Amino acid sequence: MTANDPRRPVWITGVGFATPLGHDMATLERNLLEGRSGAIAVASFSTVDYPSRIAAAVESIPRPPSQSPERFVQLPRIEQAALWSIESALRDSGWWDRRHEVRVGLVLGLGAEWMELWEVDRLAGGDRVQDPSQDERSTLDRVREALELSGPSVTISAACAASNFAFEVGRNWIRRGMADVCVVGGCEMAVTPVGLATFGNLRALSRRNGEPAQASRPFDKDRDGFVLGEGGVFCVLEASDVARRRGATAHAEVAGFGASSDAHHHVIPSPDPAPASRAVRQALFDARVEPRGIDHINAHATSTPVGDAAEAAVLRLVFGEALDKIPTTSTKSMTGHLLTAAGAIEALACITAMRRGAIPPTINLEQPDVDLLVVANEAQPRRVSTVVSNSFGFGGANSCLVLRSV
Amino acid sequence: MFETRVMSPPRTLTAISPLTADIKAHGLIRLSRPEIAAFRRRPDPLPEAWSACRPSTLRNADEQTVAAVAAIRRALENMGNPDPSRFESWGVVAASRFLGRSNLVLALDRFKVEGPWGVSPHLIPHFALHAQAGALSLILGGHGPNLGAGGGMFAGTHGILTALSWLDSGLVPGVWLVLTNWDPEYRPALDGEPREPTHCEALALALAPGREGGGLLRLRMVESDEPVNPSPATAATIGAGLERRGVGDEVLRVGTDAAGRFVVELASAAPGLDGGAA
Repeated sequence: MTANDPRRPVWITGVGFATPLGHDMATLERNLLEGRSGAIAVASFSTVDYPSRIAAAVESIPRPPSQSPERFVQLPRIEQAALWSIESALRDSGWWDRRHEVRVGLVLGLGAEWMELWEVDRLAGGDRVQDPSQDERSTLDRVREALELSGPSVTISAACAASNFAFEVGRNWIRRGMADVCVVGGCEMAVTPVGLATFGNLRALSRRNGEPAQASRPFDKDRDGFVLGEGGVFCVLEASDVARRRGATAHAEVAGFGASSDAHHHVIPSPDPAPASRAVRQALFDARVEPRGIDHINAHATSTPVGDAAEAAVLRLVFGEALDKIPTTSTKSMTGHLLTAAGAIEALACITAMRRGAIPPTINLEQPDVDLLVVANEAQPRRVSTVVSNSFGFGGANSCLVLRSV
Repeated sequence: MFETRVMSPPRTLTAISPLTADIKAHGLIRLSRPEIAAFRRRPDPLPEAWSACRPSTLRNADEQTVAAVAAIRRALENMGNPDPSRFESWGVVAASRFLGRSNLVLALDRFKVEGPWGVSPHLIPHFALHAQAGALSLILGGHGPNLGAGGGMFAGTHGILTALSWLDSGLVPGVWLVLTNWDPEYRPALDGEPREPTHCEALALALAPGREGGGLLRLRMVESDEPVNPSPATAATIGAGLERRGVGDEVLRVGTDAAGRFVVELASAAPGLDGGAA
């Protein structure tokens, strides 16, 4: 095995996150397996005239030990979530205290960075959106410097598919030796007055305002849109040989990735399952696994009428009859839709299934209207070794990640 | 202007060779806002064989996205209008800088007056970081992946790093890489109009894996031994380098990342420069 090896196995050796279902792995796993919803009525601003008044929000973001309370409290919420999550992931991996000895790369999935920063500033009476001189340093630059990371870094977005792309870019940097360690994931804090309004006016959000915990209902006949979520979720990647040498704990191997575009519409998924199926097939091929070798699928399924049905067709096209035996779930029923961080939190749900031998449920599933073996309402005990996690996004972006237990 | 805290490079565990790509074609555009408005209304944003999209596709797009399409059109023309099927699996990486700033001035102030009813549903689909790549993918009609990169001052460097990573991993056989920005940076007044004249610059590059040969110039990303003064890679800096094509073995530095650690270079695709074949 060499430092520039395109087949070099890459492991996830650390995780860190701030999510609606908790900020540490024990809490997140417990909530996922117990089927708890993170959706609540939005209370951080008045939602009187909003079509959707619910969200899976992160009420407070913990402060990472490296940051002073005085400084941390003044930071934008995006930056707070990124700092906490990335530092936590590095600590979980065991690299935090040794980060100056190696090149730590950072692939940050972040889609609405400037919109969110400009909005917060403008609504507080600022003029940042009119003054580019206030925008010379990005969230990525500030986080990388604050945490003293020295490897390559990039901000990317394929909308709600961004995190999966981050895994692929980071895996490649590790494989070719550009970074010794790479932190990958996504961060989005979109539960803002304008954020909730623009998604609501797009008619993308559930309007089940009276019962937030029942609003996200992927694959259910009565689904009416997704629940806007927020959070930061990051994983530490490193080469398996390096992890083995230092006796690190591996959460999973990043075994395969595939991606494609619909080229159909800015926001509506293609009714033709072929383009998205290409991404899934590519990921299976990359992971050298046959469809029947998949133990579990964490679906993108956001709880929109069109999207969930389209994904079911994609899965059937790829997996054929094998799909009838593969338990499938959508953990967005509990987490809400974390947008650019969705793929990363769903990777954690896959890791939960592997570690705990139980698949998190799709809650609120009363009348399934898709031909899938959905894990409905209660966690399903099951030995899980190889998992597919789909993430699709606006702009027709399709992505698929295959994770394998180590 | 781009002052940043530069950290000493750590002792590395491994040595790396540069990420590289051959530049198969390029299109460089510098458009005024009236020129962008005129291009937006074209029924045929790309050459005839490529025009699978509806004329309305660009109606709500950011001006940088419109300029990006114009740059791709220029690149296709420079390639002699090739058959679209050659690019069916190519990826799209779009590195815009501060997408949507002028629209957000209006949107945020309108929200303050009208509340949620006044908020456009187009904000995320057209002004978030993914939006330009998604629109270009839609217009090009291919099915390779699309991804936005950067979004801020060093967006161009982010786009290059991402595109070269994709080619290096074999994820795609080629990449349309588009870099866009305003020059000078767009400073909107309260009505969204720029407070001084500005032009949108867009550069479209058709990139293929750097070891296949056939390109005259090669784009590459190298890790500097010592941190250098940070400078963004932009449509203009790379465009100026492309104008100097045919300068023999000269290697041109056209930008860095924000830390001055990773350097973007243009180099001749002649053998020996980085071990690749011409």
